[in-house]
Amino acid sequence: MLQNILDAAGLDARACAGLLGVNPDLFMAWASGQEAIPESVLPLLGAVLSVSPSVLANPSKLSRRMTEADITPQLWFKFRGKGLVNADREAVVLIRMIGHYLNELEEATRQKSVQWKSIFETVRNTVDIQAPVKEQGKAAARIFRQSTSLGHGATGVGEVLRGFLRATGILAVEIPVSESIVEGCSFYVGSASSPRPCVFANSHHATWFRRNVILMHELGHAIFEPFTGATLDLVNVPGDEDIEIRAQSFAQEALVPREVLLHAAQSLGCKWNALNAESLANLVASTHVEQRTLLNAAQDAGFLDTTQVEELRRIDIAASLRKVSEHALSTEEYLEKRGTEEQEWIGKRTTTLTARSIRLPIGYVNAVVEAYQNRQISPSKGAAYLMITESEFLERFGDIYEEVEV
Amino acid sequence: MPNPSLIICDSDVLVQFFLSNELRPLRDLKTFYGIQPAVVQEVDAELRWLGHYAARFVPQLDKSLKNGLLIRLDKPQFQSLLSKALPGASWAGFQTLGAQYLGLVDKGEAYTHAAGVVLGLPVASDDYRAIQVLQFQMQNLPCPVLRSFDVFGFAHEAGLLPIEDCEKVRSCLLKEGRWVPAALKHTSFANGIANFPLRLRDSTKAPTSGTQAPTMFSDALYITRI
Repeated sequence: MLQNILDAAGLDARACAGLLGVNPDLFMAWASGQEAIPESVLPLLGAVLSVSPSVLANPSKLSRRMTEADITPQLWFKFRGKGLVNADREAVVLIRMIGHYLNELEEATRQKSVQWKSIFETVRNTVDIQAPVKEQGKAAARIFRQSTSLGHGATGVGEVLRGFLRATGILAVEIPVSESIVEGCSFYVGSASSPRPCVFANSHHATWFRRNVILMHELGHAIFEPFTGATLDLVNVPGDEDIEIRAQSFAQEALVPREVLLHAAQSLGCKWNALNAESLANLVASTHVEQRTLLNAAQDAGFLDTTQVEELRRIDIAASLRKVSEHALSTEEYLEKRGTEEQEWIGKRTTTLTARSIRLPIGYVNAVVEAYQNRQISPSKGAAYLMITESEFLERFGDIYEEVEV
Repeated sequence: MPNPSLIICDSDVLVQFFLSNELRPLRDLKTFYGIQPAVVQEVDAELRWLGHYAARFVPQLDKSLKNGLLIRLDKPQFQSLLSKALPGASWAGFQTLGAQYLGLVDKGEAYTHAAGVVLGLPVASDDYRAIQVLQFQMQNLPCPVLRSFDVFGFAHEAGLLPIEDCEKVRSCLLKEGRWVPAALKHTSFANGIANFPLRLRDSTKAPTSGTQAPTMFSDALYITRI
């Protein structure tokens, strides 16, 4: 059954073993049914592959009467699509692993946050399902801002966005997948009884300002499309479908509603009809969204007309933006500016045991380290969560048991 | 007090034996004391792909399983031990406890300690940090939890492992950056072992006042040659 699921999902068994930290030969033996999968492995495997552990535990009973469509979760159908590569599917495996670990960690620390459920419910129940999709997105964003801390104040929320998502129980992951054409995607992770929305932004060639929009766009999908398995947004593929228009309108209104634009322009002394590279860069730096989204929002708010937007889109603000915002710097430039402490912290988030090394979300790493410092998990458990060895964990975060030897 | 039928070993302890290529103490426990070293399925899987060691220990593990030096505690094997286990012990109970411990410590330790608690058998684990966490979270621990150097020290004390070979083990593990007790870190095995209170001892070394069954993870276990 495991092999059938892997085939149907387009996952290579050996690559999957590497990501899960299992001996490839042993994993192949599990996949072929030569060896029984230990019961303790079933929850992780089920969560990663998005199947019920019982399907993996009782393969012979089920395999005879099940077709590929019966066993392949929607998620994997989406990730088998045209243009998608092994790297995409491998990234999904890693992200789903993080989702499973986060659930496990929250159970151990008794700090489970499911605030997202009530927020999503409020939004879904309030939005008029018969309204035009663009209006649905905007209305959803307004309710979303009102019912969360993001609506407090009229400033850009990019710097608090990731912490907010984490606090509400949403998993936000930004990793570079250079081979991929996926710009962002959203799907649910965790077991059927404990799902959690996950929003992903491919950080390869996407600025921090762009990623803020991607994350919020994917959040829009997570709210409105919980039953589609996954929603994918590809680089340079404009989203004309209704769901894409709705998600983009949600992202724009959630990040740069009229009051944020107004406040930014007033505090910076910008005149909408006299924008240049410098003032545009200042507005981007202040609102925390990329140029295109800023201009679209300004047009929707009535500050700019179509011709002005077309002209302003052609202005290259990169050089000016780098002068006014650290977020516009490359990683190397940013680290040079912030010093060694920041460099060390970034190193502390990097996995070493996965076949594909990734940088884990800050909130996730913090949660693991905090649980370790509170003696809620052992360092070897913390190391497993961070996909590094125990000695690397102790080196990175210190040994609180240094004086103990039992 | 009869000898336990098994000692359930965690990955970190077996790595000490595999790295130093010194398996005689485990073999002698089985031959002379009738105590079978065993691993839970999770430790078996862990040893087949262990951190930066990757598949390094697979040949030694496979050989040990094949020649019976180690046995794997799979479901049938586990259930065969239930008749001598504590009342209420079951495979399902073991899985539940293992899953509970898994929220706190890594997979190998979680299921090794769970098996020891459910079956009422000693375990071998060098991860004292995991023990601290389980204690702090008020979880039960097996009695006793032996460390790799309890087994090496015992083998030496029982006349089964010459002191030169014990020293080779110590030097090798130090060189590999592995855990060596503080008492043996900066001095030879011969000089340091007296300062390392052994948790595994031959019954001939028992105090004249007699011995009791271990009730704490750090109590000594006295075993008798068969």
